[in-house]
Amino acid sequence: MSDTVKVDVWSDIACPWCYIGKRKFESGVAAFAATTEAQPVEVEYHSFELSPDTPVDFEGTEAEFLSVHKGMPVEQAQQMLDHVTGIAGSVGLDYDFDSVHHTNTVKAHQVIHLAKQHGKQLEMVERLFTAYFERGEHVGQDGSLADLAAEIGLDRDEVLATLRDDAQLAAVRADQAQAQSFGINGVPFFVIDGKYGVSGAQDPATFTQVLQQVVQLRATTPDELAEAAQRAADDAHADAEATR
Amino acid sequence: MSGLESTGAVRSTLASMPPVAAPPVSVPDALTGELTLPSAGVAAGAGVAGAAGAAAGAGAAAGGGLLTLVTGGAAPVCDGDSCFVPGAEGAWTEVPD
Repeated sequence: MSDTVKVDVWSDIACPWCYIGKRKFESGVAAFAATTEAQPVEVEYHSFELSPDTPVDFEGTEAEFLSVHKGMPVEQAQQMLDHVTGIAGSVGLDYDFDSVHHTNTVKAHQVIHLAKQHGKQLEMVERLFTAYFERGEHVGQDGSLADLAAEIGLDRDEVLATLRDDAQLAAVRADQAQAQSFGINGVPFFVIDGKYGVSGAQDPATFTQVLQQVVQLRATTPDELAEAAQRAADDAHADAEATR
Repeated sequence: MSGLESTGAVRSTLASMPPVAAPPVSVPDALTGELTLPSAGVAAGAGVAGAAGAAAGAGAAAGGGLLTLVTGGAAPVCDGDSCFVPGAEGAWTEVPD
C-alpha cells in the first residue's frame, strides 16, 4: 500500500461551495499533517460541469442572472449571494459576486487538464477559482484563459491551441463519465483512496478524521475487522440479554 | 503529483471516538473495481454517520462503489444549476452555481 493518501476531487470552477470546500479541505489536510497518522496527501482535480448549457458570456451581474434564472427578486438573489460571501469570508476568501463573469466552464476544465500534464494542476485550479470569485476575471474566453495559464507558467500559445482544437475535451468528458459512474450528482465531492466518498464542503475536522481513519484502516487486516465485527455482535447480544 | 501545500494549519478538535466494528463487507474499489477493505469501518471510526448514500447506490449500479460519509449537519454542495445546503441553512437554501 502506498504511503501517500490519494484524494480525487470533483469540482467546478463556477461552484461557490467548491472553492470554500477547497479551503476547508486544505485546512483539514494541514491538521491531518500534525497527527500521528500523517502521510503525504496527493490531490487530483477532476472536471464537473454544473451547468453545461451556460453561455460563454452573460451580460449582467450574478444577482441578475440568479434573479432571471430562478424567477426571484434581485434583492432576494443579492441576499443569497451576500450569505455565501459571508461564509467564504469565514475561510479567508473574498468573494465579489458583483464582478463575477458568469460563463461556461468547459474550457477552463480543459486548461486544468493541460496544466495537469505539466504538473501544475493545483496552481491552475487555485488561479481559476480566485479569478472567477475574487477578481472578476473571465474564465470562459480563450484569451483570458491563456493569460491566466501563462501566469502559472504554461505556454500561452499551447493553451490557445488546446482550446482551439478542444484537445483536452476528451479528458473532461472522461472525468464526467467517471463521476456519473460513481453516482456523483453534486460537488465538491472528494474520493479518498479511490474508495471513500465525502460529499460537500465539510468542516476541516471531518476531512482530518476521514484521512486519519483511512490510514488506520490500511493497517487493519480483514481478519481483524471480522473479529471486531464479531465482538460488536457479541456485545450487542449481551446488551440485549441484559435489558430483557 | 506533489503533496498538498498547507494553507494555514487548523488544529481540529476531534471527538475521541473508539472505532466501532462494522460488518466485513467487501466494497469494490471505486476506481479499479477491486474488492477492498470494508468501507463502513471508516465511517464508524471517523465519527461520522456512514451511509451508502446516493453515490454508493448509483455507483454500485454502475459497477463502482463508494461510501458517502455524511455528517449530521450535512454540507453544502452545488447540484445541477443550484447550490444547496441540505437542511443546514434554514430558509436560505440556494445560490447560483
